[in-house]
Amino acid sequence: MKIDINRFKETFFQEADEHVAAMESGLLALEAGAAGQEALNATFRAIHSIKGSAGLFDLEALGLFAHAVETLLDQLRAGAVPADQERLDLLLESVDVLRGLLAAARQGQPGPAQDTAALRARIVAASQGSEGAPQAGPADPVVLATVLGSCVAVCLFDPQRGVGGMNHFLLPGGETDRGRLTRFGAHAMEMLINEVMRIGGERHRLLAKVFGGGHVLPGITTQDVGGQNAMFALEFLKRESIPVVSQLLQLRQPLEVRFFPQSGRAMVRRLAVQATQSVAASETRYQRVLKAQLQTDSGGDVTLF
Amino acid sequence: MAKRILIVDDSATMRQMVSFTLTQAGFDVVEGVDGVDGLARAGQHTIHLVLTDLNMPRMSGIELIQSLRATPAYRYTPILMLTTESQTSKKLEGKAAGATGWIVKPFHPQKLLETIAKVLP
Repeated sequence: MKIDINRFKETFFQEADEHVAAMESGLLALEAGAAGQEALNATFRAIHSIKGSAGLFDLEALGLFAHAVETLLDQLRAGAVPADQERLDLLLESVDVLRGLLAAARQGQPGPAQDTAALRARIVAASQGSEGAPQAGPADPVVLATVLGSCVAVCLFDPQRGVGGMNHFLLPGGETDRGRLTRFGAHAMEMLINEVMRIGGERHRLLAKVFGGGHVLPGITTQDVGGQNAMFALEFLKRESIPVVSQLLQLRQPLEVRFFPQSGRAMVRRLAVQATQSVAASETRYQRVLKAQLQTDSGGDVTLF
Repeated sequence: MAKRILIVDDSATMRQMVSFTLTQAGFDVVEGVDGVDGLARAGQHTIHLVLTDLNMPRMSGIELIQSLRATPAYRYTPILMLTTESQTSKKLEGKAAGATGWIVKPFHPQKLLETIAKVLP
């Protein structure tokens, strides 16, 4: 089933206007000292919604700016930085900028109507408490490792909480139905997000690093399996508003990835071309298994109680 | 009047996909981004059926079902879980909380609609 998300755009703009209005009244109440945690929470949710939808409609400037505002509000909410006049002024200023960005997006202007970089930088600075760096294990006791040919590995982590995880997937080639093609990838992504959340990661703080998707399957030249895997991972993360902070994709050599989930650090080594053959062989085998599974898989199992 | 379905899922992608499937089939759709939001939406609208994810920030699908079942208006409303989890122990947890049924993601649009038709009052 094909989904044209542009049809939902007008709804998004109407909602976004309401969210901005909610933010403004929340902030004014905070400034007047008349409101507490709930006003902060409501303001946070408003910007969180704007950010999420901005990602869905490819409104990059808006999404980027909203992400910064959201981070500051999250820090305020957690009590990591004080809700002083300076920060409230910054946030009120950002309400005007959000309105400007929304107006520009509504008229289909690709870039922002005004330069938002300076204000964004001030917001990012205000989000960082005096204690500095986020908590992370000093010695990185856990490491996750994998070897990738045309497969993709997504490393996901919450830098503030110091938790993360990694998946490793391959889409079955030779599939024209997009729903069937992406089923395994979407599943691998959702499992990873759920697990990272289960161990304490906050969804809106998640960052991603994406590796692999190389051109290593020699037998299959008519279709770019690695490219398909890489594109899928990037598109998925974009739709879910999870920023990709680092990527190394679609090379001709296999990669060895070591990911330290507590710090989010990743080390990637390019393997020698000689290693290509064995990696490609095992991935080709795996792909055959996936295709067979797809044939027999009915999916969407239903249980009625 | 079209029946109204509440979709609660923290994944924007999933909400759009389910929402599209349901609106194409003629349903009214209301969306919630997590359990807390879903519960608020249920208070604002008359909902005939709830489709909820399990793992979500702030309030899980199980907690959402428990809260809905504690609300007189939603004591008997069909609630279907739509989740990647397929373990029996999880399903039993859902059943105990008051779920009407359990659908394992990734969902098939046709199967989803058939299941909804089965449980809608």
